[in-house]
Amino acid sequence: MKVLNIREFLSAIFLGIIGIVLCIGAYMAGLGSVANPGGGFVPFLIGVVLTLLSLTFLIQRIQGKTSSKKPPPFWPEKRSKVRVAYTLGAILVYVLVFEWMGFAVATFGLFLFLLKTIDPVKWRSALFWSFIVTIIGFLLFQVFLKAQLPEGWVSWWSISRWIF
Amino acid sequence: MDLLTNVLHGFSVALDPTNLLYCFLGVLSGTLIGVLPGLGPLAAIAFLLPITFYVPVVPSLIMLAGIYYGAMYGGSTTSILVNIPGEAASVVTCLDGYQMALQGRAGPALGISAIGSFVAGTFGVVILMLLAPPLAGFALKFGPAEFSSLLVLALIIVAYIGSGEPVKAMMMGALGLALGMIGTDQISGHPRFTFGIWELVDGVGVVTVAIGVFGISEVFLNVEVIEQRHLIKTTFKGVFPSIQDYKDSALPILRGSLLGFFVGMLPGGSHIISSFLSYGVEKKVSKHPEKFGHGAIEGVAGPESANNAATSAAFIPLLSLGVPNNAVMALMLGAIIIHGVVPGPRLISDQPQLFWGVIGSMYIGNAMLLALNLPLVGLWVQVLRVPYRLLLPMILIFCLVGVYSINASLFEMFLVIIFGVFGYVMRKLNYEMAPLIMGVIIGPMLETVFRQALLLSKGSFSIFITRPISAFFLAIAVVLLAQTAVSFVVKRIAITKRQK
Repeated sequence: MKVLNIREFLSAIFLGIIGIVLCIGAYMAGLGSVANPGGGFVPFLIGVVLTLLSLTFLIQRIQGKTSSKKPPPFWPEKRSKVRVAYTLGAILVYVLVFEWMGFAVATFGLFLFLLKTIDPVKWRSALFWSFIVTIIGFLLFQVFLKAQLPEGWVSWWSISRWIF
Repeated sequence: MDLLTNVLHGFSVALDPTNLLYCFLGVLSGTLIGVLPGLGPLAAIAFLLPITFYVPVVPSLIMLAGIYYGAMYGGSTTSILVNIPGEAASVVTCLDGYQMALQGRAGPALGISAIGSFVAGTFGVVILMLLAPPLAGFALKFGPAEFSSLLVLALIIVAYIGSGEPVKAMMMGALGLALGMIGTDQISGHPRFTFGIWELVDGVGVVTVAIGVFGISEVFLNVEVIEQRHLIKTTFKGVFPSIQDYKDSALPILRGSLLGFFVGMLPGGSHIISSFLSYGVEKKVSKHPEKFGHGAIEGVAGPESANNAATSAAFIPLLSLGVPNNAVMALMLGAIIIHGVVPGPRLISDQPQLFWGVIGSMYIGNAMLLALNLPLVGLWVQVLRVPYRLLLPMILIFCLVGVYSINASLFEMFLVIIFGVFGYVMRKLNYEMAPLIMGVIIGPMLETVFRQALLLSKGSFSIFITRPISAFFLAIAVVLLAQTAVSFVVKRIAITKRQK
């Protein structure tokens, strides 16, 4: 029995919707005329092409270019889903707290969390590597590239005030 | 005489201590990336792009170029020693390189791979140096119509030649073009598709998209399966091949250099295709094709030379026409544009220090790679011991902090995560990301020249077919599209017949 890869099917529908939205947005931006194309002219053409390609793909799939094999599982391992979810969640939290906590604390925390969850290592090793990577990141971006990284509430200044 | 003066100028630029340092950093990180399986030059260049914001354009491009050709050298090391291709172009090297290692001939395999890469890389640079300036001179005749057609052709070929389904690749190309449209209209100055978000007025950054779809998505894909990589103990004495090895490899290196160069120069041509083609050619012309797959040194020398020559050749359309012919070149074009340099046929005359400096650095970089790869081969094998559980979080931090460092924008960090998730899902569904990034970069260029062409022709589309060069480019594009359609129909008929 032929099986339709529903994920591929949905992805093409998603791209088709983007194409239609693009056409509408382009129309609203102003198509102009062929002799004097407006800001929406080229995006409109791209939207049409994207929609047509999406339709072609859907027709190809419906008209029998389906596979007789079951599509491979989306998650290759039992824990794949958990690991990806942890990673995604961790980086989202990282971005949310980045400016508030500052580069050093947020980076240290992210690294520690990932080392303890993705493929867990011992605490001592996790703490050591988190510290090293934070220092390398600081040296590279702040010292070498002179980028402005957020200090957050745990700034070197506040640490020095606690100490002295 | 002019050529000699220019070459000397190039060397003086490349030998500047700063440029020399960036060249070294480029080839070093390229080799490192090449050695590590799963991380290709595309991902590496993507997550190192933010660094180029802080560095002038010449050292930036020197470093990025170094990463590209350095990865070709590094990729062969793990293919030969542990049967793990560090880079896609080195897959074919596994076939005979690993067999040679099993027979105790890992040293000559590594040696001939490095020597072949050096010869081909240098050959490629020489031809690049000779070919790019006249091609740029010819391209000065191009008007907006010719450039529009050339950009469309480049995008279609990249989609067509990719490993997946052409329709899927074309959808990604179109989506990339659509992303390139976000932001201020370059002609009227009005913002488009910004949804009221002021951060989008300047458009979606190339760096943001590239880091998302190549860097972050790569991490997600690797996190799914934490590989337990074991280093196979392979002993080798010396890396210098015997006289017989040199004799057997001389012609494959020559053929690989020529083939790699021509394939690499074509739009869509890449180091990956060239290495596979070279392997096929070597097997075909060999008097002992049965030896291939069982440790034939020709099977290492040819493909390794081809992929290095292709990397040099890929710079020709980029530096002479301002048109990238693959995704890595598209990222390099992005790096050039970031610095306000206008790509195109005038680049060589307007920015001689950039063109000749990069050429000079490629000679020096190839020599550095020879020194890095032959005596230090043992060190690169040790790199494989670095656990991915350490490497992946480091890449994540590099990507996120790198994006933040450009504009100090949390919005761009979120955007990078969105593109990362998008790239991850789409890659799992076998969509290619190379046409997407090509689309993002060439989208604004294409729109400008396309509208200019229509303005010039007073709204007549015939400008694209009445001008011979433009018509030629479009004809190739149409042939490729027709070929895709015909192959689909033929397959459908075959399936229907089988069902009956």
